[in-house]
Amino acid sequence: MKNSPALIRLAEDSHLLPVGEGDTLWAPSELPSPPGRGCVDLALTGEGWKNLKGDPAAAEIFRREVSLALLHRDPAKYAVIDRAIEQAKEKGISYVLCKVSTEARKFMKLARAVGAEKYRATAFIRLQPIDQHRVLYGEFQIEHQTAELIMLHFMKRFPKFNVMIVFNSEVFIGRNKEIFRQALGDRKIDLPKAPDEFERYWLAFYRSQYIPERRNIKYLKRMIPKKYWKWVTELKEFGL
Amino acid sequence: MDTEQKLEVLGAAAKYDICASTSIKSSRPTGRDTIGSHAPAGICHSYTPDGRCVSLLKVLMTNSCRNDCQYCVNRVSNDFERSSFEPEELAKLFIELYRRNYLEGIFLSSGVQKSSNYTMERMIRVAEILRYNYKYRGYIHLKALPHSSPDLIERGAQLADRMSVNLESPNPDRLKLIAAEKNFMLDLIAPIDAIQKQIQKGLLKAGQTTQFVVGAAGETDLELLKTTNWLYKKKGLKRAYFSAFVPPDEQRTTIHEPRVPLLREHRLYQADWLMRFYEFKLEDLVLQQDANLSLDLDPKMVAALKHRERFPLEINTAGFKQLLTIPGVGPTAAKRIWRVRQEHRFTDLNELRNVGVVVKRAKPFILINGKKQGSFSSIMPVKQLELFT
Repeated sequence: MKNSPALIRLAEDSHLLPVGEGDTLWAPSELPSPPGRGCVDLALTGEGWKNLKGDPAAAEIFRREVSLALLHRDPAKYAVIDRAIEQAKEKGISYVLCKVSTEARKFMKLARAVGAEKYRATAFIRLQPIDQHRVLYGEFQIEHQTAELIMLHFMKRFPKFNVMIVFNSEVFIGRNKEIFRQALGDRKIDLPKAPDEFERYWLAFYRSQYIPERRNIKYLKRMIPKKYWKWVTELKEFGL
Repeated sequence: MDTEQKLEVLGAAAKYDICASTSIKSSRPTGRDTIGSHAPAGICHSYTPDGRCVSLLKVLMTNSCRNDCQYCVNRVSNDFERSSFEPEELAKLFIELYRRNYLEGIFLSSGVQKSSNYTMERMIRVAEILRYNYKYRGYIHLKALPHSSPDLIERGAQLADRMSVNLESPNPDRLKLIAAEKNFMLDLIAPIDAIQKQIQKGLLKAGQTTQFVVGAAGETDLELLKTTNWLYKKKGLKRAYFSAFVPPDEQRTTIHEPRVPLLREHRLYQADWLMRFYEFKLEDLVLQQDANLSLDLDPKMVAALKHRERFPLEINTAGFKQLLTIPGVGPTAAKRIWRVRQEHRFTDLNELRNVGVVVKRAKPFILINGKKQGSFSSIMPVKQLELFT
């Protein structure tokens, strides 16, 4: 696929680092799979979940939860993960995955927070086609090291396009199954000035779906925590 | 009408179709020239102020309809402006919205224009354009219209991930009251059978669903739950949706049922979940004398209070099915308890709280290592409890 001018400008910049060569923990192929639900994931293996001992799925799920917890921003994560591993050795993996102890809960909470951020980013990032529609551009604020996980989601979903997302102050570019990253610094991405008619269509559709008899703002707030409201701009249609 | 107006009208006409699920276990193969993918757990891209997830472009192909269903705003006797999407127009619109990550998939339903088969052809055309022209690999939910031919359902099943037929009423007698033109077995159950055949062939990985309009035909909860149970057992239904009847235009409909409280819909879902995930049988549910579920207490608590002699249960030895009967213990917590018990004995309420048990509700119904944790009077006064004996 022909690369867009915006991508070429960024890709030719010598500071771009392929992910895996910088300070990230995994090459894209080794990134942990999407978060599951801890010990309950084992239910996916039919009746297998009832027999934990010697169940390789339990070890695999535990490994995945550790991978996710490692992406958490909190520097105290290493101590929490260490304690979880100790408890898993001592009392069994299910003891930790099923969050029996307070330490296990803390550990699983780290993994859940990372998983939740990835989920919300894949839900709420709005992409804008730029450069003759060859690039899908978005912005999002993240707290954890979830950028690569999020990029992989969109690269899989839109393989025909180059995906460019600004996370905090870094731009990530996904193309040809590789992810590149770079600090944005003072540079700005050239975005089209003309309003997007499909944004208008989206808002029209969104408005049409509301059932006033069922108004339940409390539930809405639970589903979209306030910190994400700035990305879900359609909420303004109802004065929220 | 321009596209924006069509979206407003045909989106609003589809909003009472509740299904917003996009969850699917297996993905369609993707390649370098495809667009779209499935997320195993589904993704909600937005929520409306009623707290409902917006994940699908939920629209009608047309709001023209030759039927005169009394619960429906699009019925032929209702005088208002009609509109339709062209298949190419709708497919392009959806792909552009999908590309901007507003949506997770499309849910396409329709009024019956000319005939069911004519309209189904047009709906299938949208799916064909998406799958073949745009190489779209994401989620498609197609409604099968009443009296659709098995051939069209077969074609739809090749393209869609889920198909569904809305029963609206639990049985022929009730249906007659609100949709006199529809034949329960021929128009509604026959397409359900045709969809089931396609699922048995390995198509429609997200299964089939149905929806009931609760309260429009004066039916009882027992009637609804009986039919739902039959559909799960005999027709392989994935799930049923319940939509509390909201009179679309009270002055002009022949339905004079009062507005249905949303709590009734909620109780039906709770009972439905007990049958789907808690290993409850229909006969395990306790109904009031009027054959409806209690609105005051959830059906699981009602069943537990009715059978107090079965409690308290020892949390460290109770069987899996027994765990599921304890109020405050859901399938996830029950699975966790089961697994953890293989290597560890529960010693206190805190550990149970950690694995997801709602301790406040569960306390009167459990023992931990032989020790009682609470009494029934903590749930409700003794006088009220007597009502459950």
